[in-house]
Amino acid sequence: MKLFSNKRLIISLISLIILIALMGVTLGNRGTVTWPEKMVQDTVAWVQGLIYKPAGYIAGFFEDIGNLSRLYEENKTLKRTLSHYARDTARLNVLMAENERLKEALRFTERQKLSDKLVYQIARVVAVNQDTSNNVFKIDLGERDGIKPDLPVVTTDGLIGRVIRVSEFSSNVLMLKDINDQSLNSRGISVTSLEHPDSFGVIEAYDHETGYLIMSKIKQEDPLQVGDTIVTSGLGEVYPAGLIIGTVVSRQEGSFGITHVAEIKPAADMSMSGLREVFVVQNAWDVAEP
Amino acid sequence: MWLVVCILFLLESSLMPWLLPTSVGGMQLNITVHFAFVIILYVGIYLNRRLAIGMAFAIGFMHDILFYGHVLGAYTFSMCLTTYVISMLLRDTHVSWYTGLGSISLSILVFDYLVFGLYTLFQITSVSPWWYFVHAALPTLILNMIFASAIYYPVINIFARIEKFVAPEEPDDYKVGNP
Repeated sequence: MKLFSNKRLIISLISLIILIALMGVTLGNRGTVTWPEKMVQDTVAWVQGLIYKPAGYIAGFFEDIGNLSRLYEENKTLKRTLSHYARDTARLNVLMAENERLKEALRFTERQKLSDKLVYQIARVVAVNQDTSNNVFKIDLGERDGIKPDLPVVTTDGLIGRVIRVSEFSSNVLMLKDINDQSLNSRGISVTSLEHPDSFGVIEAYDHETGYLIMSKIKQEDPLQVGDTIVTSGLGEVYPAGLIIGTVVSRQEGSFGITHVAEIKPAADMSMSGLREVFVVQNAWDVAEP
Repeated sequence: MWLVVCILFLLESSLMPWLLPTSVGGMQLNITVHFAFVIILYVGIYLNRRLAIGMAFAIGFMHDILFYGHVLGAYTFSMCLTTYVISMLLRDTHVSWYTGLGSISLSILVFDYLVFGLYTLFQITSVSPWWYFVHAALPTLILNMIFASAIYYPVINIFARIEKFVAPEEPDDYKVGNP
């Protein structure tokens, strides 16, 4: 047959099939990271870090000049907040001591005591992927530093993503805005409200058009209100409790009318610009007893 | 040539995020930088098709591995296919500057939508195509076309020099333009 005598056509068709098959096979979470992948990841991450960090400092310098005028106002507000902070710290110390004493009285095990303590490991961003559909950035901490897949990553403002792949000296972080209820791989985050700790919901999607996270599965009688701060509830066992996610912007009936849906404005900047340092959050118990 | 493409590829993810705006006038923009891909397209159209496909494969695969989020191979597939098709279409013809730049812009658009289509196919993203066009594909296209037109003359000059250098060695199957 004429069609099959064409070697080039056959080759291109076969490579097409192989590539599509590769995508199908690698879709989802593969268990282990192979060593060639690790090597490439680490080598390139090191080079990218060499460029990304100085570029960030230079960009930061120009940003600082622009910010000078705003600093005075900011300083005034900060001083006011500081006085509140001192008052709150005193109260917190008292409460913490009491909590400690009560736990002692109730014979909490060492694991239970450590399980609500979080360890924040600072990591520097070395590269950012700008692709709209694949929001991944790389950090300079890896397996050697005790990083494991699925650890939450936060900025100073709030939750920004989770570790998705780990190699020796670097790892990939998938951003929170990649969460998608139609995808087979993405997982919801069980959340609650800081002001109303009884409320329950699941963050399952991100609306790219508005830039808000969608919180669903809220009961109709749930006390959640607009303006509440949304934090992780720790019920999902992946994210520890108390990581700030954002604030409620609106709440309305869901598409079936059975549960309510709320829009959450993320606390962390989701635009991926100017990312410098992030924190990998780990349970104190997991760090102590790997 | 490989060195230039590799350096551009590294700059894409490390230097460019600091230079690009993420929103203009309150509208969120997702500009993706494809400078290495632009060079690959230049090579494919003006220099050597096989070299271009090889580079597209290497750089695409590199990108896939480095930013492994969901699937492996989306960039490899889209880059290779776009480079292959565009260099096949334009082989054996003398390519003028407007055909060259036009086909590069078309390739970038097609490439963006191939990646987007693959992610939609695997249900990783659920953004509407029109939103993607306005917020991601169009700004990306504009930025990369600025880059492509800026480097047009230097690239053509360097390619002409390379051709002069390579041509005497393989006079039989090497045609001027695109083999």
